[in-house]
Parts: sequence; C-alpha cells; structure tokens
Amino acid sequence: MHTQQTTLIYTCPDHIYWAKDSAGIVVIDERSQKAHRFTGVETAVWDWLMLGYTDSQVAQFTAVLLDIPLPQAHHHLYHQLQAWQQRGLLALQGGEDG
Amino acid sequence: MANLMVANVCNLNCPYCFAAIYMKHASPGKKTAFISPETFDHHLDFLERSQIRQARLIGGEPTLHPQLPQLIHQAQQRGFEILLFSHGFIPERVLACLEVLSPDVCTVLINMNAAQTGRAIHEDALARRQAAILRLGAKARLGYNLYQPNFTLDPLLPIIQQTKCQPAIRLGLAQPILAGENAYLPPKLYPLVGQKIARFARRAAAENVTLEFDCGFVRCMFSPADLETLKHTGADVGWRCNPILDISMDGRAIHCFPLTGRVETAVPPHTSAAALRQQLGNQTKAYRTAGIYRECSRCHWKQTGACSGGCLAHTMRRFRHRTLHFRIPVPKLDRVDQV
Repeated sequence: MHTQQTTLIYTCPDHIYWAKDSAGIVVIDERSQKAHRFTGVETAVWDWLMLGYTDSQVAQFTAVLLDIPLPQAHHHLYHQLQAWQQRGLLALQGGEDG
Repeated sequence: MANLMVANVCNLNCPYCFAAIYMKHASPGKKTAFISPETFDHHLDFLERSQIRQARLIGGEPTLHPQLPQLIHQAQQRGFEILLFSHGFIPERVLACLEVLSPDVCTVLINMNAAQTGRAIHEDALARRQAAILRLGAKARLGYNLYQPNFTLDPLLPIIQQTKCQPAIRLGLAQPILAGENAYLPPKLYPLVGQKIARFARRAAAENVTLEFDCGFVRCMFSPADLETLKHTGADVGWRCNPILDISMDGRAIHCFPLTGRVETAVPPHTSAAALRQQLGNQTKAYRTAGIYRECSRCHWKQTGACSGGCLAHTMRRFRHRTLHFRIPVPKLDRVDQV
C-alpha cells in the first residue's frame, strides 16, 4: 500500500541577507529593515540549512548537539523553521505530495 | 552636505574610482555627459531649501564640463560657496575662472593619486598640475585615496610647501562599490595602513601640515599610541559613515558612490536633504547593527556610537543571500507529535 507523504518546502526570500558575526549570526530583512541576531543552537541550525544539508542531516546534527533523541530533534527543527517563517526569514513554498 | 554631480565622464581611469559604476550606468543610451545649467539650477534650489550653503561639485571630472565656469558663476550668484573635486589636470579656461575667486568662497580638492592610474601621465602634465596648484594657492587642498598598503604620502609635503596651498591633506579610504569591481583597501590591512598614517602624521606635523580623514576610517585601525600621535598632531579624525547624498544628474539621491544602485531614491520636488538622508538611512539601518569586522557588533566604541563600524559598503559585502529549497517531510513530524 502506498502512503502519500506531504513535504513542506522552505525558501529564503530574496530580501533576506545574513552574515556570521563574533556574537553569532546576523540576519537582515531588507524589506522591514529589521536585524535578527541568532545565538546558540539557532546559529548552528541556520548555518546547516544554508550549507545545504538535508532535513535528515540537520536533525541528526541537532540530536548530537542537544543530546536528544532523533525524533525530538526533528520536532525541534520543525518548530525552528516555523519560528523563522513567522519572523519572515523563511517562506513556505507550499505542500507537495510525493 | 550634499554632492552635486556635474559630469559623468573622466579622462583618467583610476582603479579604485568610486564613481566608475555610476559612469558605467550613466554612459550608455541617451544620457548626457554633462549637467545642463537649467538642471544645475534645480539642484541649487535643492541645496537652498535644504539650507546647505556649499555647492560640492563632483564627477566624473567636473573640470571637463565645457560650461563649468558658468555653473560656478551661477552658484556664486546665489551665494553658494564652492567645493570642487578634481584630479588637478585642470583646463586653462576653468583655472582662469577659479583663480580669481577668494579662498573664502572656493576650495578645490585635488586628488593626488591621479599620477598612479596605471596609465602613463607625461611629466609635463604633472608639472602642469603642480603649476595649477600654485595658481590656486590657498584655494587648493590636496587629497589622497588609500587603496593599497604600499603608498607614500611624502611627495605631497614639498608640493604643499612649494605651492602654498592649504597645509592639510585629506585622506580617503578606497571603499568597494557594492555593485562594481573597483580596487579598494581590504579592512584586514587597515591596521598596517593605520601605522603608516600615524608615522606620516608626525612628519607632516613637523612641516605644519595636518591630516583630515574622510569617511570609513575605524578607530581600531590605530593603536592607542598612534591615536595619541594623531591627536597630538592635530589630525581631524573621524570614525563616521553617513548618507553623504550624491545627487546625480538625472535627479537621484545616492547614499554614497559605493552604494550606487543599491541605496538610492529619486529626488522629489520640494524635498530637502534632511528628508532624503532620513529615507536613505532607514534603508540601511538594519545593517548598522554590524560593521566591517565580525567583532564590530561587540565593540564598545560601536555600541556607544563613537565609531560607525566602518564603511557600510564593506559591511554589506559581508552579508549574503542563499537560494534555499529546504524540504522537510510532514509524516516525520506527525510521528514526533505522537511521541
């Protein structure tokens, strides 16, 4: 039996720019002219995303970093992405059946 | 302060030129090379309603404008002081016009890099430039743009003594054009350059010549001892980066040349420089949280506003954008939710 799996696709809007800083990562929203400063785990996850790692890899890294089980790391990642989306730093392209 | 562009052409090709991208944008198509007297008058209106009393004329090379004496006369008739930026190879018709003006109302800032353009400049031309500085006398002030670490400012001192021009040298740091490929001084070389500037400041002070800093300098490029030297020698230091306002011939206000094409706006009728400066400042305020170095955002001087954190173009170049397509399957999340 085939089970359909919905995939969320997050994109980075054109007006979002970021740089590494000695205090973490600074993300600039050019549209709203807001600066967001990431520290700690958030910095690492953003970096992994931008380096092109897959969701499985990022979840694995997160699990190791936070010393938590993999399903919990997936959960953490999911909520982190949602938080960034709410702040306008990522956009949800829409659901996709695969 | 606001700079009025009066020409978008130049007969030199300096590798660090801040205006190169503007000239590249401006040259093709139907754009004219020189501002018309009518448009210039409108730009003087802008200065007037902004309560700016100095008309700062920039290019390209302003002295190539065939009607520059007329433009200068126009500005003077309206009571403006003149600050003219030039490479110093000034045509006779312009020199004759400048020569008769009082130093109280006219300064010609001469870029002394112009002999280092990678293009051979005949000795006669250099001699003519020095003769022009001599004729301008107290109206002339020498400037130098630092774009590589192996520079020497020493040859400027005898020129100042011989020509009796202003006993000051304005130093600029060559900054990157955000949308271009000019030569510029990388921030990692700033401390090296800072040492050389401080050493030169001592030699200059011995001849009663002071240094003035243009925008983009940072405090940390100087050691505490070198900062003391600069203070002791009367150098006019500053650690600033603000919207200068370069007003283009086609009526755009640009934050500054390095941010051409990225931070600019049309100049609406009846607007003032303060309003434009505010608008352009708002377009870049988020980037002001950072600086040219990774350490800037934690720096005491930056946090207290005593240092701007260097040139915004350098800061903005540190930032990048990535096209992201991050896929995350929902079923995994459903399983998590059930845990």
